Amino acid sequence: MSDLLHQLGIDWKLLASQGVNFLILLVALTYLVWRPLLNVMKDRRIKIEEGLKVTDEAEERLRSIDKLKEEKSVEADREALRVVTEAEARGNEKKGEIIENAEKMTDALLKSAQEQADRQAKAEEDRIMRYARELVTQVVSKYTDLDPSKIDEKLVTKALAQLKKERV
Amino acid sequence: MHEISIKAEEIFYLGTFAVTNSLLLAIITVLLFLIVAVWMRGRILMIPGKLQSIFELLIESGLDVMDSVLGSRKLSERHLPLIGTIFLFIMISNWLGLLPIVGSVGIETMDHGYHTFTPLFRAPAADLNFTVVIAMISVVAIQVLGVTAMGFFKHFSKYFTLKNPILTFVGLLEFVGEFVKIVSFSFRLFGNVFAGEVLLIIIGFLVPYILPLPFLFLEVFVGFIQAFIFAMLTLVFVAMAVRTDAAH
Repeated sequence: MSDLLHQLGIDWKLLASQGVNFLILLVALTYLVWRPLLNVMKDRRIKIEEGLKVTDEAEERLRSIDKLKEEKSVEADREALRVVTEAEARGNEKKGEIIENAEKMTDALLKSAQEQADRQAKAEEDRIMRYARELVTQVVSKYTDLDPSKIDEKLVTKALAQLKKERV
Repeated sequence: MHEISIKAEEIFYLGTFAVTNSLLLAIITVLLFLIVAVWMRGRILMIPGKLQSIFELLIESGLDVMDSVLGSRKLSERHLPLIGTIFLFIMISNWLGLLPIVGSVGIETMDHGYHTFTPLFRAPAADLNFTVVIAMISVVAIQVLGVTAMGFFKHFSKYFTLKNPILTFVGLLEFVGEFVKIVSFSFRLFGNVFAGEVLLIIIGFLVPYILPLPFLFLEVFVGFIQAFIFAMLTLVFVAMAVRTDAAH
């Protein structure tokens, strides 16, 4: 057997050295190449998977945000319509109040103006009557040669009353 | 034409230890690997360059092949260092054995009045010491991985069982088969590479120009295919050892 091994060149020292050679290479490649490369590939795969997951989540969130936006938009439209309707109602109410107030004020102003006009007309009438009385008194005193102070006051008043009545 | 020898030729001595030409080329191969590995180590990035992309593509392809045997990416990644190192070491050392300096550069001595030419380098797989030791490491690794995966007693119960006489006999045959694996692995690789080397020497001697080229290409292919066969067989036996469903 040992002769056969010798003929084939098998020697335990060479076996050991070739074995050590291979084991050194195995350890070196494991720690310098295989593991770092596998780790990088694994990390990259995890990152890509995470990225895809995050993208899916972002898309999902975007969809939910769009949905929420739509809902909020509808809600805002509804709220705006409600506010506008309410404002319109309140406006109409206010308008009624303002018109009513204005009418009241107009009435009061008209009434006040009427009263003032009446007062002025009365005053004017009184002034005219006084002037007329004076005029009548002067006319009578001129044509009767009577002292104006002696002319019957009652008669003048009656005449004026008659005049006033006829004028009306 | 130098003398064809099954044994690797001794080149020089370190004390009493004789360094052979195949051991020398194996050491050079390992050094080349170490240089490339150290150079690569600092250049492995999350965003790969062109070279890293090529390496990753090759590793991915290798892992896909391993997946088809092991059935799981996790197992493939765990066993990639062993299988990958066996494959690369054998393939690159086979290819280095085809370089023009191998076999043609050597030491010429006078021995009893005859010129003796000793090549400085020899393909490592053309030396049984190399193939036997890798086969031994492969078989030992298969056993260790089997024990790690299934436990000592469960793993070795497939060799030593007293359940029934047939299983006992089959178990013993399988146990002997583990040693036969070493012989089968080592002599297959040695035979192919050594035969290729002899073929190239003879063709080169008979027709030195042009004709050796197809044979060189054939040997490049043989170098790859033998490394692939060795790695795949190791992978299959590892798969049988670590997968409980495939163990029996």
